[in-house]
Amino acid sequence: MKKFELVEGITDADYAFKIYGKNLEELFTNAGMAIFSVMVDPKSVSKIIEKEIKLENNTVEKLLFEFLEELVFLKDAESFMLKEIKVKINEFDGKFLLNAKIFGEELNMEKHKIITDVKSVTYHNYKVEKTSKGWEATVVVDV
Amino acid sequence: MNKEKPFLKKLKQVGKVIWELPKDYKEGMLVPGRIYATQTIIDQLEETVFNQLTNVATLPGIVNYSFCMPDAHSGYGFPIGGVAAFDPEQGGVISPGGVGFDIGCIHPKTKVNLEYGTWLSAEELEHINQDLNLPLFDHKTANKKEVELLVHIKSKKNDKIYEIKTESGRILKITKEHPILTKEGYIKAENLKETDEVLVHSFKGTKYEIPSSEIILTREMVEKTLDQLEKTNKGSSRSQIIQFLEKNNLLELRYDSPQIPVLLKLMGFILGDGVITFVNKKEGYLHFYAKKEDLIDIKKDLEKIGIKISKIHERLRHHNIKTRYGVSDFDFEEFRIVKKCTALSALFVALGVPYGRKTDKKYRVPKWVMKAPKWHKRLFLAAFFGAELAKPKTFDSSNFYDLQLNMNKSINLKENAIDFLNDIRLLLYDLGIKSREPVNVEGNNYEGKLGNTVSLRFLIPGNPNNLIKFFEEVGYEYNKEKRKLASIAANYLKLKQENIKNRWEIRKLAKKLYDSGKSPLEIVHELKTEHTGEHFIRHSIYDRQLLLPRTSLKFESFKKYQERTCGNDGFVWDEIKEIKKEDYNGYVYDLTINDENQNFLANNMIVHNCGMRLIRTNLTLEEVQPKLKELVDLLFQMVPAGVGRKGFVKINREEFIKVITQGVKWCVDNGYGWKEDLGHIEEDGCIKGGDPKKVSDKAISRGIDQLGTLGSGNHYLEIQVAKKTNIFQPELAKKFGITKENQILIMVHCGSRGFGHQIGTDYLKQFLEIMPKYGIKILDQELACAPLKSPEGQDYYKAMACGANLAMANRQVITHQIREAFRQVFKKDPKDLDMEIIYDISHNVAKLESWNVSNQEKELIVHRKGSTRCFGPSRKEMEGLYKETGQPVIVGGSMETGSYLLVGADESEQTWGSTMHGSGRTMSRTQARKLVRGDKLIKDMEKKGIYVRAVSMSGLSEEAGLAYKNIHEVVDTMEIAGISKKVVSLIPIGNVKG
Repeated sequence: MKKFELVEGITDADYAFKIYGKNLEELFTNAGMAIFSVMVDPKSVSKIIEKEIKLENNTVEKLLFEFLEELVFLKDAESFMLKEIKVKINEFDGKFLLNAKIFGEELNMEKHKIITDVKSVTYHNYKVEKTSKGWEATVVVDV
Repeated sequence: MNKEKPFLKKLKQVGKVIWELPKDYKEGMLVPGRIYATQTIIDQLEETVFNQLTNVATLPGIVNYSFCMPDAHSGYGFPIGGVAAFDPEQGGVISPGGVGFDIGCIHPKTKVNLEYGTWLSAEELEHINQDLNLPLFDHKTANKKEVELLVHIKSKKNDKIYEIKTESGRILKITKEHPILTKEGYIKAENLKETDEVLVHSFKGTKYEIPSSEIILTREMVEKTLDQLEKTNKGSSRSQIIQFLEKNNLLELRYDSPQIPVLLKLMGFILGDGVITFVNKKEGYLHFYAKKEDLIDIKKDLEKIGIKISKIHERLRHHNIKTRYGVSDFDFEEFRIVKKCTALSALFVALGVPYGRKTDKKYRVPKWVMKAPKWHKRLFLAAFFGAELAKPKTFDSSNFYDLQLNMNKSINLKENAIDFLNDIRLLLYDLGIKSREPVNVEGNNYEGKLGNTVSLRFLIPGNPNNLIKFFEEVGYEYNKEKRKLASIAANYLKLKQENIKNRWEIRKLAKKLYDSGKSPLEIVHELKTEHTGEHFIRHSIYDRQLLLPRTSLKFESFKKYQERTCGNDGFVWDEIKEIKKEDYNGYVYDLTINDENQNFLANNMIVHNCGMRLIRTNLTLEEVQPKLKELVDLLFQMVPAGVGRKGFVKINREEFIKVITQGVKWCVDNGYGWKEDLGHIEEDGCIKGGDPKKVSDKAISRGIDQLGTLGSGNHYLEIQVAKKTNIFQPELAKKFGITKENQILIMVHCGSRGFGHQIGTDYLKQFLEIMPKYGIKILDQELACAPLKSPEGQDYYKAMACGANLAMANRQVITHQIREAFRQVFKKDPKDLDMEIIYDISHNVAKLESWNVSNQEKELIVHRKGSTRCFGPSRKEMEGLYKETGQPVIVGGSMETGSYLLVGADESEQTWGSTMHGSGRTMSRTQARKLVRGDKLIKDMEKKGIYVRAVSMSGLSEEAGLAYKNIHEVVDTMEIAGISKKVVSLIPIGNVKG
């Protein structure tokens, strides 16, 4: 199964992704990797720092949006470059709880192959859907 | 105009380079849209730009126009290159769904039309958690269009409610502010008057109910059908069929499966004008025969269930049929869809649709359809009727024929045909429609090549009540012509019944007056109207028995009535007959609150506050060229660019708060600038009113390390040269200190980085939550907004000012680094190099400005999203030098094509003193990356004498010149419009990019 792809026809000035996952965990993992894929080549990043992200929200849509925003935030606030994500999502009491571990390292210009800067996740054509194969999301990021 | 771009149809050229989209382009537009462009630029614009421009035109309080500059391309919510001003004092309310009578109404009992021909009352809708689509009147096409229901607002109201009754007897209850579409545009209920004509659509459909999850079709049942079709699993074709169906959510099927509505329609249609065939018992084919316009709808529905249709076929057919009237010989043009899809063919067969020639097949309406919810039954019936049932037709000027349905069947299957038609009657009965028993029409039996058939007919009686109910609640699917006629006919029949009712009242009144002793002459004088003439009144008085009158002879014919139609989907104009006010205390739905503060600040258009700065030097190309590489390399080192980079200015939170409150002044106070810099920056480098308390900790954390960083994307720092031949206004150029041949200048394009974005994100989320409170509905989530004077709107304004201050401070710190780099390379004091700022201007910002609106001085909040302020010399804000020149405008082109310095002209009043900010993209980043390789671009540019240092090669290729519009044409457009004037065009020689 494809993890994510850049799609045409939604935005010229920025990037639009379609992200797939057999389940929510995969969808969130792939979405995080997707938005970082235009910022830094993950092959050039090592697993040095480990961070934990905990979030909860009423809907999967909002939860994913928040999760991606958190990654964009860490990129600026801590110069965090992403290598790997491990996500657990539980549904409890009508809420979706996210518990993620993210691995990576602080930006190192000598070592990291950086690409462009994602400034924000947008609601432009934003969509999270359940499909016959699992989950699919459309995410446009402002670069 | 351009056939492939139907959205251009309403675009009118109103000036040499000015184009207008009228208010009726889209429902809810409060003002027209205006685009500044040449024909070439118009041809390049994407549909999204038109959409976004017109979405902005629906925001409350917008004044004059929603503008688009020639560098327009699609943005988030607003188009890039967009300008719009909002008036705090005026401003109506927004209610995009406020179309006609069926939609967006607000009394709890009001029926709201939903997708698939269903409805629910406003209060019932509240309890439905599914995503539902609503049909709306589409101004662009004057047809129905389905849109997603976004926000459902419920509020408590204790006020007057308006009951509006139309000529055809329709009643609508709405609050005073609710806008209604009339021939004169949208009018608030409280301003409506009798004789205003409002747009109505008769079709109501069936009440929506949530279907059960009872299973209709399982995998085993499909397997069984495949056995019957003797389909083997050769080449695993059987498994593929199952896989295909499962992949497209067509297996298993339950009543509540999302595919069921479409399947029901398609099934109904196939039973009429469709055929399923199996060639050699192997390959299944689906055939649909209809008019081209209806096949397009069928195609769309097939695509909804995952079946792609590439073509609608067209052929000329010859027919030769023997009937009792003789031999009929004719040609006609036939359109059809033929799709080879064994899986779907088998699925339909499994669902109970016959395959092969239907005349020879025994079949009934499938049992599962017979016990489906009513709205399912309707879909099936309406599609069947779209194919088979006669269209509404009058036999004189105003009375309708019974609706006929004829069915031909092999003689030996006559009983089965009668059973089938009775199934249809039973479904109709369930929906409250009367029909007559099927009869054999012997005259229509005929002998064809394929055997003898009998003809059976059943009728839906043409009495007005039965027809109105049928047209309003069942109607036709996949047949635009019949659907349109049915909707118009229903309204016509209602009007006719109102006419009879009125005549009946007059008749009774005439009799009563006569009995009370009034003279016939007096009564005639008193009661005579167009539809109750003297003859009628005298009859009423003298006839011994009072009889229900017929329609007045003067009543307009159905043919004439059809002139009231609007568009092709059966919308008609209906006159208001009566408006009543009544007290109401209870919930209202989709309510629009009339608040005094209807001034809106649309959030995302101003998030990153980015802008341009132009710095001059007294160096020339000849002096810089030999040291260009050294200079660019040093700048690349001193001005951090790219993702995750930190700036060299290390400050704590306390200092950062000073930066975002004071802007450039903080920089000058801390050694990152000269005192005179302040005068060369818009608003002297500080937007007042910034309040750090309104900024989240998150935003501060994102921004604190980024002071003095360039960022990435289209942000850059460029060394440019002003050639004498590129100076258009030597006098003005001189005033800005551009005097030498080949003089060197530096241009910086960047913004407030992650800080501004975080502010935008924070408030966007907040606004989405609070909009219902202010009764705001928007067409795009990215247009989230709040009234400026609301606490939330005020908070955002204060936070945004902080964002703008950081953006200016950021460009200031970068300027400091540039000056230091020049000092190192040229071994001279930057002051001696005359490194003054020519100007610094934002192109993503909202500003409070005073403007003349209808001869009144008003303070408006002007939003410029990817557009630049360009005040003319006579604006009061222009002081000192700028009083002579007008406001300088810095326009950044692509790396390859160069940039411009312009000045604003007084004519810029027409666009709230705004012009373009760049050239505008025409190609996506991914596309540009495919076409251009970064390393090759660097070499090509080096050949042209441009030295580039970029953090990322792919990022660089995305900014290649070919991805942008022609900057010269964009700049010329605004010059032709008289809004901004070219001073000099600048050519790059060195570039630093993120």
